Amino acid sequence: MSICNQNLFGYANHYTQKELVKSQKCVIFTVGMGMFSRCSTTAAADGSKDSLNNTQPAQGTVVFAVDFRFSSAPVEENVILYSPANIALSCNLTSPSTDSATVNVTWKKDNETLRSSSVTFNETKHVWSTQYINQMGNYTCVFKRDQEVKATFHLQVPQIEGKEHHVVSYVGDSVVLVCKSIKYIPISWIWYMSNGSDQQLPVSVQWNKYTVDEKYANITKLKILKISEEDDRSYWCQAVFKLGESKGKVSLKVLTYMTPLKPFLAIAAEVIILVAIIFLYEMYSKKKQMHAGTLRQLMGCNLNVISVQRKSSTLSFINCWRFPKLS
Amino acid sequence: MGPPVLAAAPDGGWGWLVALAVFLEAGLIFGVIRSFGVFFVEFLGHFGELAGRVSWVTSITIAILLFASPVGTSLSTQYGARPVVMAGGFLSGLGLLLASFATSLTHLYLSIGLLSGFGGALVFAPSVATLARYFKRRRALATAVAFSGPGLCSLAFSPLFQFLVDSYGWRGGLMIVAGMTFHLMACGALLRPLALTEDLALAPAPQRSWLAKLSSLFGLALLSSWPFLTFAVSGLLMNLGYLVPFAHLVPHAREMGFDEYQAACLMSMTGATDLCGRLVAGWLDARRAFRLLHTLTLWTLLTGITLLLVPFGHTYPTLMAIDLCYGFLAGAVVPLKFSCLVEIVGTGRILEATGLVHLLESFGALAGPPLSGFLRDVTGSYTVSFIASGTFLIVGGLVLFTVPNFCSCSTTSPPKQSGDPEDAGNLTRHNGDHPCDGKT
Repeated sequence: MSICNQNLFGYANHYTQKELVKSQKCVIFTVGMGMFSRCSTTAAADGSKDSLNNTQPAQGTVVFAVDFRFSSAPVEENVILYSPANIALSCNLTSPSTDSATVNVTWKKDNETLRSSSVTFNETKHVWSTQYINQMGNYTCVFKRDQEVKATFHLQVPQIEGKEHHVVSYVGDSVVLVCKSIKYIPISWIWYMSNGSDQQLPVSVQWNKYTVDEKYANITKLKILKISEEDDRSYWCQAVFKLGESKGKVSLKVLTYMTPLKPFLAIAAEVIILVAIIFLYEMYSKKKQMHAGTLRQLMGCNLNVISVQRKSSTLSFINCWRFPKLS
Repeated sequence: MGPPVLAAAPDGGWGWLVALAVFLEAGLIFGVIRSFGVFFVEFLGHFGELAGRVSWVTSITIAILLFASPVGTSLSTQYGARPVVMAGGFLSGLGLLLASFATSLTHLYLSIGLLSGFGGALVFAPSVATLARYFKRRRALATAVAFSGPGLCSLAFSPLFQFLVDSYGWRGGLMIVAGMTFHLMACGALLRPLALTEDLALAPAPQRSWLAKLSSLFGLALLSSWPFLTFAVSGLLMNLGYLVPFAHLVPHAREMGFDEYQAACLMSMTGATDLCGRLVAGWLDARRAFRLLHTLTLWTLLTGITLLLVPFGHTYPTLMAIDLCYGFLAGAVVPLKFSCLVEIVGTGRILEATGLVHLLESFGALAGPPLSGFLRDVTGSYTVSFIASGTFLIVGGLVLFTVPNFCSCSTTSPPKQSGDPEDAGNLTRHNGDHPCDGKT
């Protein structure tokens, strides 16, 4: 496993954030007016180290570097670019042996070869190659001698997360769909809806159907009124950044009132049955007690029936002088 | 021929079914209220209102529940517990059912707050009184079993509510919860009326003016007793902070970035530790190693400190740990408060004292969550809300220090009121004897 070594030039004001992707650890940092975040699948990049040694590139350029050896697994790096900047990607290969062999370096963008060259190992057993870029995409550096190692940088705009679980609403009700981009503030938001045939239509703001609430720049809310069954589809919120756009998906599920009404009626019926059972059991056990009472009467108790009117209930009191009190 | 008259409380038999009924009732009323945070978040999103305004829903429900409990007690002495409880159960379910069709927050205030709250008041007080009549020797055990309801039920309800919201939306979810709440009627059906011999010994009540009746119902004479007054004020302050986590912990967790089920889990774990807290409090009460008032003060202060720590739980394990502590301490405080109240006013006046304390606490319950929500709206996060509620709890605990530090044997015995069997009010673990007997 190789260890990421970041070479940051400029004054980095960084902090770690929660993992953007489950297996990645990310660092966000601002350099000048730009803001970047870098995520790595390899062993934890120690964002607190701010190594200002190593070679100086051109002024105002941010360099993302990866160190590895021939035995390393392929490295994946996610770099999120929020605003335009000069970016340089650097791959740094260390060779364990002292043989001064030639290595073939290839840089690819989205699987198209950009340039290819041969480099020789210098005395310090390092060979590195830098590529200056000006576009988003996936850049790969490939070192080939007898084996091949490579590292891929995924340069992209900030991704918008929609809601993975669908939002449930009812016919005739209104619903609010929310998309957020907390750390990176987009320039604007556009909403699209799916058309069933994989097409996406822009949602036009009509006062009695769709309203877009943009009180804060990093949260957008689409309010849909008077929902009908046709509104059961997916909606996309597109955030426009300086360097590109990204979309998040929110899907809406429309139910009728009959859907929860059926379980409710089932539960209500069950309650009625329970109450009936309880009352029937009580009447049954009272009948048994009454029969037992008549039995005692026959056995010669001194019947002393006192009826006491106590508010609204009547109590009867059977007093058996010769038998133990009723339990 | 009416129900047979018994010489003594059965202490078992049908009584255990009554205990089960009260267990389910407590769970269905308080368990639902505790797990309502899930719906709180949905209301925030759907109605687009501020947290302060949405918090009124929970606070009105609890306030009406506490405020109207004397009404429940008086209706049940008039008509018997069973019809009142069944009517209350019906009203509670109806309130939630109507809430599922709500189009504005005001509808929710009226249907959940007013209707369900009032229904809950009609259910709870008579049920507890009936339970007290069924048990004499084992009353402590029965009440402990019954009051473990909210804890256990909120354990299951919180994730269940989230699941209902995910499947049916908040409207469908409320509808199904209404169906669940209708089971209160079945619980009420279990409350068979019980006639004890002491009822017959009482003469019928003389006609009194409604003002005198009201004043005796609320026990307003108790307000002149200084120990009781400080205790009640402390209860009011405590309630300002105590209920805030039930309303705002789930939204706070969601704002910190945890997902729906993680937040719901926090609430259900509170329910589990609440149960442990109650058991430990019951054990402490039985042991009588320390004076109850001291124990209550200490635990109240600890609960307040735990609330102060909530905003500092940034990771899920930390927040869960703080949350478990809170659940444990808060669960213990409730039975301790009740036992202390008995110690202060004596078992004869406990019924009125409970009514009056509930009345005063209802104001705290009414103001607490909306105040906390307002603080959240003003400052942008729930940090200040939790700090404020923790402070209220700590102040409430400090007020307890001003209760005169002696067993207040000076409370005069209450005038014997007809139609008010003393034993029905004896909901303590002291088994009927006055705690000041034989003590200095």
